[in-house]
Amino acid sequence: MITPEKIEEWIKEAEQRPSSGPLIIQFIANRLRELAGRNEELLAENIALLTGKRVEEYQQRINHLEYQVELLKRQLKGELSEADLHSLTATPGKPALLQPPSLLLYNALGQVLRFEIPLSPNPSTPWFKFPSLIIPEIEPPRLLAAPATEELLLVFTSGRAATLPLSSLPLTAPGPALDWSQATTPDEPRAVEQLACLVPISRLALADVFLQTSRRGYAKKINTSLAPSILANHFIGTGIRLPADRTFAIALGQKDDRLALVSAEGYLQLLEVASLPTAIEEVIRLGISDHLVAAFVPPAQGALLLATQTGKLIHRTLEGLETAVSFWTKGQALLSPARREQGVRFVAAAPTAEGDYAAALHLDGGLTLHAVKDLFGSGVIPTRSELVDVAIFSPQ
Amino acid sequence: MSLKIGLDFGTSNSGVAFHDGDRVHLLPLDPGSPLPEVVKTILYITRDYRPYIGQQAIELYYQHNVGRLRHFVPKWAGEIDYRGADMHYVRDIFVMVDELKPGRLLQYLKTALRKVGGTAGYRGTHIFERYYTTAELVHTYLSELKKRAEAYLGEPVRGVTLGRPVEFSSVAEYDSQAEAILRQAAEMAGFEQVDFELEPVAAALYYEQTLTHPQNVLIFDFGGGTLDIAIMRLGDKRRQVYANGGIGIAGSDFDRTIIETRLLPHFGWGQVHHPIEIVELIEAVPDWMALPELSTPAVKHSLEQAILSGAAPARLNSLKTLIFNDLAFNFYNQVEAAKIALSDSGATLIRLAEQGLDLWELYTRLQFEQDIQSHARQIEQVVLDTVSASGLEPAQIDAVVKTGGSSSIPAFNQMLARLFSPHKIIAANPFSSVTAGLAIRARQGSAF
Repeated sequence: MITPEKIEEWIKEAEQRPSSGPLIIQFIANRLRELAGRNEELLAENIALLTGKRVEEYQQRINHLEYQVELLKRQLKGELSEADLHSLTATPGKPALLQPPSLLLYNALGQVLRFEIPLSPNPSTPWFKFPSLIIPEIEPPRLLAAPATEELLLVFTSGRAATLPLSSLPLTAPGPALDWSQATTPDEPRAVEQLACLVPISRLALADVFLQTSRRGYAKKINTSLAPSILANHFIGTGIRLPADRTFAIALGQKDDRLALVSAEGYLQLLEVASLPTAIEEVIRLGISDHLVAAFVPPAQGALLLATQTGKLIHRTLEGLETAVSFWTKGQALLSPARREQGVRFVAAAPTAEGDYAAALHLDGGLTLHAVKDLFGSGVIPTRSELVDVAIFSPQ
Repeated sequence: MSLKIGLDFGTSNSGVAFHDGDRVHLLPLDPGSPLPEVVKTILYITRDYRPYIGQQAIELYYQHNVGRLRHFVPKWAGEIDYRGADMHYVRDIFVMVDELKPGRLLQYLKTALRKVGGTAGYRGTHIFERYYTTAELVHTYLSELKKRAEAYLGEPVRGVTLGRPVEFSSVAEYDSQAEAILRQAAEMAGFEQVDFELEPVAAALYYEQTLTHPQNVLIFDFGGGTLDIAIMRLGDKRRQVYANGGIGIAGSDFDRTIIETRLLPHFGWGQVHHPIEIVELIEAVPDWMALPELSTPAVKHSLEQAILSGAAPARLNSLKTLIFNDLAFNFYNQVEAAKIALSDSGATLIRLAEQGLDLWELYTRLQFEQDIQSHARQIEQVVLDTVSASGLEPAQIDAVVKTGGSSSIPAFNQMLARLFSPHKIIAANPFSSVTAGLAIRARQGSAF
């Protein structure tokens, strides 16, 4: 705030104490430089407003928000009545209306089996054995545990994406005769495309970026603010560089999060989300026969549970793990060279806490439930064949 | 062995010293501070009622408060009785309280002692669920200082000689009330033996150590809260106090003047005709105690409405940022830093560029001297009155010893040089000479 009176006073100071003159000039010159820079920014902003660029950006953001609202509406539709919603907000002491979480078993053909997990899983749950369920060793099915109110994003290898509420998938009754013919195909893959992954997206509104990874260790980040146009223009799930590669996972994260990648041969790479490229790029150097088995955003604190195909578990705290400074590394080795040579491979990895539960899929069609605290104690998921995948979930 | 220390409980800074019989040791009780012997008189009490003082308090305050979340909840504050001819009802009163507030920062604790007098005097304050009286606030600060002194000396400290201004208040009753509260606080802190010495007299005792021949000395102790003057005969057996004087004008008043004169327009003052509630908000900016309390939803709503109405929106947005981003402490520090900088250079910047607030004020020494002109006149009058009360002529004063942070302000240096003579002006350590003198008094034990 510069007034003519103040300028007069500055001049008087310089006249009375000449040593103040250069100081005053320096302060004013610095301020002018600062204001000139800001003026430049404002002029650019003005141009963006006049040309309509800024309006377009705001329109995109509005579209994105409308999309989020639509997602939330779909999640809540049919689950909670207006009265339920009102009672939940009006009486904080009242327990939330909970639904049992669901366990999804899905394959690249887009077939999905949905099982209901009890709200308080019994750690001594007996084996669910589905002898008729064929578990191929190549492109095996994957597990996903999610709340029944979750919204799912189906990402196909062509870049096509579709969303649907998890609750719209029919529940499968476990039984010995269960096979893939009883699975539902919510969105059948088109010619030359496969289902790459299922992504829970109910927290999309809170996330800054999608983090896309491929089996061979390539990754890119995509701003969630552009979600409607990304999904409409098939920007997600695409961008594969190697012919034998394909999109493996998509996670949601914040700008200051880290992305964890775990490979079958036992390497872990932690990367700052801020450093990830927006165009797909190799972010972990994998051996010729190696591939990713997990890609997720770990919490700042907690533990990481890694499972090998033999059921052996490795438990690491997240605090001690270092963030990689370069993409040109193999990551931290979590398996010794000897065990790697013996053919030990990771099949799954996930962040976990003591109160969590783990669902394990076995090669012989078995599906088992375990309390994570028990697994920490025993260090093994007993299996009569081999483990295929493990999903971690909280009971509530 | 029980130790007795000298403790200067100042408005802006405090300090502790110990005389071992040979020499004075200023205790470095604030290792995080650039001057470890000087402990900022700042108290930060966390939600679990843990007290922190000095640099640690400042650092913790920033750590806890910058960018934190707020959540206001109504808290019952009392009730109002409505009585009419044919009706009577009671209505509950609620105030909005930030339940996520991690702690409360308190500055200028000594000023509270100066305001204890009268029915409307300052009695204390609520910190979360507890009410702290003025004595409890001061005791909390003194206890921490005592603990640090004991940790440094490795022995328990049982006695203290506390400094006190020549007058806490011009009303004798309030003055003795303030001293009684300070004594009570010291006793609550665990000092078994408590005595007082006037701060300028303490500075004189320290100066006396350097004398080789008797002198008539004027002590000009000009700190953050008061100006204290003592005219004394030092250096011989006829050591005596000729006169004492003082006035409640000092550094914090200059800070307030700078804010009122130069900075209020940055927050919308004089820009347009504001509604009364907005005017009151702007007027609260110089008040370091009031500003942090304004961050309530009602104030936010008023400000947002005023911003939307288009009356000086950028300035009012600055005010909103200042209030709602916990920038008040930083703001007052910037003003104080600018005032200090003007003691050495002719121009400085008052700059606060944080979280959308862009405060830039080029401030010169000439402007500062203009702004505090009326204060300077009053101070000169107090000096002349004290000299007159001493029965001495200015020419009979052999030395003018200046101490306290505000004594470095060139305008007052020039005033003293004009009234006495430039060669008589002696600059003592501005922050430690009173503390050192109190340690000497503690060693001597008896009253002056």
